[in-house]
Amino acid sequence: MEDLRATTVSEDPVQRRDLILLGRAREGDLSAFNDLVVCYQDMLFALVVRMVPDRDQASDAVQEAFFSAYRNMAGFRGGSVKSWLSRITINAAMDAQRLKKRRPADPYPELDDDTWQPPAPASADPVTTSLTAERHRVLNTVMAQITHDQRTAIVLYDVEGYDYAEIAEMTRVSVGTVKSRIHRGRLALRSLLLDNMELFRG
Amino acid sequence: MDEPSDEPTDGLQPDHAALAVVARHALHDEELIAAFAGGDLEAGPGAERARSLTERCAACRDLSRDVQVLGSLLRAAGTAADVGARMTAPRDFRLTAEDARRLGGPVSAPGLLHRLRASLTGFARPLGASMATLGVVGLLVGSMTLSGVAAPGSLAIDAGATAGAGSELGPVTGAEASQRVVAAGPAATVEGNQEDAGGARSTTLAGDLPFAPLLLAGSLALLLVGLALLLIGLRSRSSGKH
Repeated sequence: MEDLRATTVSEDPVQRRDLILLGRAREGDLSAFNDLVVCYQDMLFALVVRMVPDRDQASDAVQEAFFSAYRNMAGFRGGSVKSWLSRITINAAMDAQRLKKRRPADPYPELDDDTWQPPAPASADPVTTSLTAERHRVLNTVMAQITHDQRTAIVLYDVEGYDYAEIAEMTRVSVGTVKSRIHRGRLALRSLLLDNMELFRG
Repeated sequence: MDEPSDEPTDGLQPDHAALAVVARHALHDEELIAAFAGGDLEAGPGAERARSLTERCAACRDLSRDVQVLGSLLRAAGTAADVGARMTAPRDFRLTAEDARRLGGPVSAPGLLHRLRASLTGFARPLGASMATLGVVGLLVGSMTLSGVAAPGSLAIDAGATAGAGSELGPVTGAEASQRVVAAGPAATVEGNQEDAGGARSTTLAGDLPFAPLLLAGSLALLLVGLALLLIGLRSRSSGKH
C-alpha cells in the first residue's frame, strides 16, 4: 500500500496528523478513521448545515460523507485530507439537496440555529452585538429560501472562499453557470431582504 | 444603450418621478450590476456599462450597495472551520465496526481474503450441492458404462437389431463384427460379443470407449469439490449462528 507520509511530506502538523491517521485507517485501523471523524465532524456539519438548512438532513449528509470517505480511502491521492473530506461532504450535501428537490412537500423547518452568527468580539457593545445577531438571523432565514444551487454557490464562494473553477468542478457545471448562480443568488437575497435592507445598510 | 440620469424626472410630481426611476430601472440588467458589485466583471464593455448604470441610476446604485453589504455580511459569518470551532455537531458521526464491515472499507490483504471468503460462503452450499449431485450422477453413468450394464429395453432393441443385421449380412470376420457392434452402441456390444465373437471381446470394446474413465474421473472430482463446498457452507453457517 502506498505510504501517504512518504509521498506527501507536510510541514503543517495538522496535515501531517491527518495523513498519519488516514494511512493507518487505510491499513484497516477503524479507530484511526474515527479520530479523523472527531477532528472534522463539527466543521463539516457547519459547512453542510448552511447548504442544507434542515439539520436532520444535514446530519444525514455528513454521515453519508463519512461513509463515502471510508469506502473511498483508497482513492485518496495525497494533498489535504481536510479538502478531500470537504469535497466529499459537499457532494453529499448536494445529493441531499437533490433528494429534497424530489420531495418538495417536506418544507424546511424553522431555522433557529446560529450557524450564520459570527462570533461577537469581546469589545462589542450590546447594541452592536444585538444588531449583528439580528442581521444574521434574518440572513439565515432568507438563505434557506433561495434555490439550493444558488445557496451552494454562494456558500462555497462568498463564505468558504473557493474560487469559481473549484466550485465548477465540485458542482459539475461550467464556470459561467457558477457565476450566474452567485449573481442571481445575491439578487434573490436582496429581493427577499428588500423590506429589511435598512437593517443592513446602517 | 445610454441611460438618462435621474435628472429627467425634474419637474415631475414626486410620485411620478419615483415611478419614472422604477420604470427605467426595470430595463436595466440587474445581474450585470450584481456581478459588478461583486467585483466579478473584468475591464470591458460590460464593466463600463455597469459603472455607467450605477452612476446614473439611483436604483442600480442601491442595488450595487446592497449586494456589497450582503457580500460582506456573508464573509463575516465565518467559514465552516470557524463555525465548527465554536459549535458541536448534533450527532456523533464515528463509524461502528458494523458500519465498517458493511461499507467494505480499505482493501488490505486480510480484508480481501475475508471478503473473498464471505462471498464464497454465500453460494458455497447451493453450488456444492449441485456439483455433488452431478458428480454422483456422473459416477453412476460412468460405472454403468464401464461395466457394460445398460438399460434392459435398449439392450433388447440393440441386441435384436444387431442380430438381424448379422443374419442379413451373413458370416462376418471378427474385426468386422467388432466394428458393427461398436457402431451399434454399448448394449449391442455385449450381445454381439456373446453371439458372434466370444467373451474376450468385452474388455476390448470397453477400451474403445475412452470417455468412460474420463467421465468417472471428472465426476469423482466434481463430487469431491462439491462435498468440500458443502462443508465450507455448512461450517460458515454454523459459525455465523454463534
